[in-house]
Amino acid sequence: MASTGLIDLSRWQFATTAAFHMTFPALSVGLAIFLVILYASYCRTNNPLYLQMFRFWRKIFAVGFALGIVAGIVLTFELGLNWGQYARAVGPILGPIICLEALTAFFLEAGFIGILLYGEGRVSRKVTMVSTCLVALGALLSTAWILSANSWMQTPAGFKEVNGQFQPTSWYHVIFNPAFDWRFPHMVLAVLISASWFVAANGAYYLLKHRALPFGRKTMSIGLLSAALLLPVQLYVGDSLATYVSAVYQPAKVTAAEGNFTSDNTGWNLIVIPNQPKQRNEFRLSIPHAASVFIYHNFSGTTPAPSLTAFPKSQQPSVWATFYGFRVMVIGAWGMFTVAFIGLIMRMRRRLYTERWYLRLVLWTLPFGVFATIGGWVVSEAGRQPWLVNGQLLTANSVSSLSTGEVIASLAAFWVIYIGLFTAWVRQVIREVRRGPEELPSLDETPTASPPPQSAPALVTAGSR
Amino acid sequence: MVFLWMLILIGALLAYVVLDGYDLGIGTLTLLERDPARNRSRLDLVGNVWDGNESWLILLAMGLWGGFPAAYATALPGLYLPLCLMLGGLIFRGFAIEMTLHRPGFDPIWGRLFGIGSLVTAFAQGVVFGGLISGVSVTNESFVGHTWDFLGNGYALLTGCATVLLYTWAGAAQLRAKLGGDASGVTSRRLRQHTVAIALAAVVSAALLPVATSARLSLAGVDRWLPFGYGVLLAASGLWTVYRRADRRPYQVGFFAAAAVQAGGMLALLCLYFPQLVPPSVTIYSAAASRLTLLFLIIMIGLIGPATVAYGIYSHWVFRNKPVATRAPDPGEARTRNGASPALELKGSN
Ligand code: HDD
Ligand code: HEM
Ligand code: HEM
Repeated sequence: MASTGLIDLSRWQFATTAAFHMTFPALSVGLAIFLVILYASYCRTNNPLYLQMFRFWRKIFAVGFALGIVAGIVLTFELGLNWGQYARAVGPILGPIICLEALTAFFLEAGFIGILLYGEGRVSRKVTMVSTCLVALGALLSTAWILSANSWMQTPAGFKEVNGQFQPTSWYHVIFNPAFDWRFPHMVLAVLISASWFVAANGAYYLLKHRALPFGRKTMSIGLLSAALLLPVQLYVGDSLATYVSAVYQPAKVTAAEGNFTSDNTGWNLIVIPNQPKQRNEFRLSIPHAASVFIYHNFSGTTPAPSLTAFPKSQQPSVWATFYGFRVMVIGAWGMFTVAFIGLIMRMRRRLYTERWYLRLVLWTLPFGVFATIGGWVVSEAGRQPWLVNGQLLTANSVSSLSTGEVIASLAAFWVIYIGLFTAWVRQVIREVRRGPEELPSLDETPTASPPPQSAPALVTAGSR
Repeated sequence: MVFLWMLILIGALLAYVVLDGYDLGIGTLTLLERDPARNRSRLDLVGNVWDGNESWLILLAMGLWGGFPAAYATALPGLYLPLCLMLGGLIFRGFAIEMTLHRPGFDPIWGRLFGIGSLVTAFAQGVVFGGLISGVSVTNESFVGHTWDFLGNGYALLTGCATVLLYTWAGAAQLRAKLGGDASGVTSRRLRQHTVAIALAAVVSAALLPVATSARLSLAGVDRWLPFGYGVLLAASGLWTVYRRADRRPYQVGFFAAAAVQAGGMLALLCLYFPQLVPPSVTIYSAAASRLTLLFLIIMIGLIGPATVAYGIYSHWVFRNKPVATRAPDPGEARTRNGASPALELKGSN
């Protein structure tokens, strides 16, 4: 068996490069759909405001999309580079799934993103519209396939084991494995919420700065409205995912996420300092009775949360990672829900666009969606340990026989590169946002457009309070 | 079925090398060019195709993983360092393209990173290739060699350089085809010299191969030496075509000639190596996944593949004669940095 050092290094490498990758799909899947909405609205109403928004968000989308692609390529190679034994074992099952992802999704995105980004003036509006839709479709398909692959590792089905290799017996059961049904909608909602929140916060920025006001208002209201609609659904889906999937197939995962080593706690832990070797918490701070309500939906608040000591130590995932991943996700969820809810009230009182403390609040919470998404992945991946394929293949038996030096070198190189690129990406986004949207496109630039309902200058002046 | 899947993967490899080969080559060539306007138009040529071209690499990798898991599981750890180098190159390149494309002109920093990333990727791919054909130590379907094994007495460095030569050559031919002699900065004399250099590199690598590799090479039997001969002829005729026609302008043949060289070389190697996949010990039969996996892969690629190729062609066709940024500079840009984009205007001339 490989040394623990090698295993840990490989795990760190995969976890950090995957989290880096995840940051970009979290935004670009949602933004792709947002672009569809904007362009469709523009085609229907001919209002240049929508074209202005489309062009602005397209730029932000493009750069993040590129980073998502290159970071994704790294992940697919790492599966073989660092996890050779895993690659040999699961190749016949997961290889074809990701192959299909490439065929149906990556080529689709790559084929039409060129037209989406640079096609204007060269192709008709209809072609731009169709291309935009196809790029969004590709992003959704990609999410579906990768979630299917990852869900199979959480709840493997439809396979038999031959000589330490997993071979499919039913593709239907492999692809639509039990966890997929709830995790796919959970993930789609997660990326939509992350992107909506990002969009809303940018809108708030313009309103705070008194710039591009019509643009800012429309942007913020679309972002907030979709977040407000999606968040309650996500709370329901997340709860069902925990109840019908995780608690059934991976009880140790949910138990670690609740962070109890004793079975007398009816409270929902906010902070714990776990001492896993000694199987106890050094410190815990909890909301009384809440666990009973959240986990068992028992409103009398008397059912205690389950205890991790029910599982042998060797079968327990890390409480640190699973617990705090879960807190980040759930607190993010409730935080955004609250802010969106306040937004609705402000909207009804017609103060949404002018109340500065509220705009600041929205701006400061800008990365909450992305944080919640990454937190969620930490729950699902760290909570699956010590298994790589749940109940079938141990992480410790999956690594390639590399030298530790090689992995240290690659890990260090990835970190340096990723930190550099992430900084460059953030600076680029800030630059674009500071520069602001281009002026409202005038009509002769869009040859097929008929006159808009209002003239552009009227819209701009209508913006100032 | 195993054989069929191998052919499909070779098709994907060929598509990747032909397509990304020229765009990595163009990227590398920007390092040799000082004129920002010319570099900008090179960047524009690559701008809307690079991600599609790289999708072939993913298809290839994932097809290998699904169809021949034991090959994926041994070749990748065996070639760890050059593959990581390649990934690093790809990351920089992809991001640098997107960063430069959205600014006017040719950004001095990101533009250079685009060139360096392309060069590193091309070189690393050549090293990977050389490391693979010179053999990987495998026992029991897992890699058992050492970190630096892939260098194989330096043979991999030779193939690395040869690959850079080949890609830049394909890039130069593509540049002349799309931009014409002046705007591309590729003279016919240089293209000829380049062609000769590749022919030399090919001869040297071929001569050293039997010494450098631990694989069993064989040309016994007509089903090996005949296609081998065809392969060599095809490659040679590709080189000859470019050499002879280096000074003609509408130079579409360049693209196909490059493809012929790459396809011919691949065919020749296939004849020498078959059925070894990760030489010497992993063969396509020992590495193959189960029947149900291969059947599924083949059916799916049969159903979806044609559509993929069709819209790939369509998206190239939309941009067939103009590089991307000849579109009017957008008003936002014009407003904030008035007239700061002479490079953009320059190459409307096509
Ligand atoms: C195709 C499968 C797949 C997918 C879709 C993901 N992962 Fe994963 N993940 C793995 C396959 C995997 C793995 C190869 O199976 C790893 C490597 C080591 C391990 O234990 O599992 C892993 C480990 C791993 C770990 C470390 C767990 C630990 O070792 O304690 C984290 C935090 C993540 N991943 C995070 C992510 C994120 C943020 C993803 C979103 C993009 C993601 N994973 C998608
Ligand atoms: C281990 C996990 C993952 C691997 C191996 C992986 C692999 C890849 C690869 C190779 C690409 C580049 C494709 C291209 O050239 O267009 C990519 C991009 C993408 N991935 Fe992942 N991916 C993983 C996780 C995820 C997850 C969980 C999602 C879910 C939302 C996702 C969504 C996307 C999307 C939408 C793209 C398109 C590019 C972008 O939006 O940035 N990926 N991925
Ligand atoms: C209170 C509400 C929520 C609950 C109860 C909840 C529950 C869960 C659970 C139990 C998992 C682990 C699934 C498993 O692997 O077994 C999970 C994963 C995840 N969650 Fe949530 N979630 C909630 C809200 C959110 C929000 C708001 C987001 C993002 C905006 C989010 C994003 C994710 C992601 C990205 C994953 C990993 C992918 C997956 O496993 O499907 N969640 N969630």
